[in-house]
Amino acid sequence: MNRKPMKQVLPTVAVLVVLAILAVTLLAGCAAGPSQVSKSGPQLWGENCARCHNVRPPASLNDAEWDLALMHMRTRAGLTTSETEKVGTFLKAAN
Amino acid sequence: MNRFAMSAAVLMLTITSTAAFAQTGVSPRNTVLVSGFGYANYIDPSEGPSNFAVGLNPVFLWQAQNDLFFEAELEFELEDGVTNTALEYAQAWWVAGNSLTFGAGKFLNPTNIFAERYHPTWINKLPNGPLGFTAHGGVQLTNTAHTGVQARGGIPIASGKFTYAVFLANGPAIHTEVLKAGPAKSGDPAAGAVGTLDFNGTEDNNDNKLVGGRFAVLPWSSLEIGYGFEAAKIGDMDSEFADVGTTTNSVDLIFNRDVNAIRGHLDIRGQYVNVAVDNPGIAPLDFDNNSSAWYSQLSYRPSKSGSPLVASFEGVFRYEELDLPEGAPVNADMTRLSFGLNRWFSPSTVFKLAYQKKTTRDEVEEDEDTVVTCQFAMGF
Repeated sequence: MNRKPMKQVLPTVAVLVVLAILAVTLLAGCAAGPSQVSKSGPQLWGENCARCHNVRPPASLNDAEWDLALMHMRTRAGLTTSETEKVGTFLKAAN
Repeated sequence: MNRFAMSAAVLMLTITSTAAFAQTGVSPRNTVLVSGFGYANYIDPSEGPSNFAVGLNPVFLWQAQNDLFFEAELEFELEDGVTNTALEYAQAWWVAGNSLTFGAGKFLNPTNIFAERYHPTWINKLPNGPLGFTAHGGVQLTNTAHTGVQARGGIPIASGKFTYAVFLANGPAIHTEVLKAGPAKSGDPAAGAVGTLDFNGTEDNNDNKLVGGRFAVLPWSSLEIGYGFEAAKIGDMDSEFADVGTTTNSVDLIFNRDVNAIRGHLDIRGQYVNVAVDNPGIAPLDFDNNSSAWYSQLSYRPSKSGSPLVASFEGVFRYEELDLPEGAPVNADMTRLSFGLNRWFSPSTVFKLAYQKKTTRDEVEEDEDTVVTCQFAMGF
């Protein structure tokens, strides 16, 4: 088996270096602003859903349907259990 | 990953899940929701006949208990006079903790952000996906779905968040036959060209499993930057290419927010992927097999214009590149420029009009073709 030529290795190294710099910069940025765990249901709903698609109004689903939709979305959005519960509580109160 | 390590991981997952299921036991919910999306297209290319097309992707969601969930998406598509069906994903989820969820089955590839998040037609702001990231239109570099197991979650960090997804899957094979046909969906012979990855197999071609992951940082809610990787052996077991491996690295970015200065909503999305395949020094794979693709997309909707009509329109621009290995039997690099205008009727109902210009370059010639596409898409 031939060794990987530099052409193959360089992009990987470049990507990793850029990512390391970005990660340090961005993690430092995390220190500013309100704490993530203190965010309210409406705030989490607006921030996380709108990151990928238009936000559907709370009245578009009933309580049981929102439970399912939130389970479906929590994995893609990286929501924690407590964040999912906050969003669910808000949507059920508002629908 | 070797067989022992994988067996140990599966055993640990089985033990922990069995214990957790025993604890949650009662209060079955057994609720079902049918969601999904549908679309109708009119496609008018500069070369070849114009066509109407239609598709329907129902999504089935079923929650058995508070922490047990199953989801599946089917795809129905008219193509060449027949209705093609596909199982886009089907997986069981177990919520193991605040920041940990296990999944098993066929799942959308966490490192292919377009496939995992944007493929529904009411979410994708253009009528098709970017080159290299889907099975449509040329060589596909990164898989849209894997069959295996995954663990993922999000961890709050101060005002931001860290998210992760790690997975074990069957992984792709590699095309080693010069005239092997491409995927039925693609319609492009280059998609099955020797040296390209074969994502069509539902069963693995060797004992080695693909290991992959994506890690992302969200320093602010409007910004997400992720890094993904995949590594696997892709040669057929006991063949002369058994030790051939591949490594995929990708970087993705999502930024969107309301910007008062431009009285609207700005959305920026992009991803870069690099795929390196080992050179075994044996024909026909004896070339530097290093491919890459990237796209960047900018869209703007004047949501704060004050006029509901004006606010219902959205402009989209996307640029894409697909670079294939210079020494490959098929080396047709592509670039594509897309301009789109969308009219939103509701948050999940949209009419799209798009103009796309694709340039294909190989060693001897350059070819340009354009296509105008109208798409009506609904999410439900």
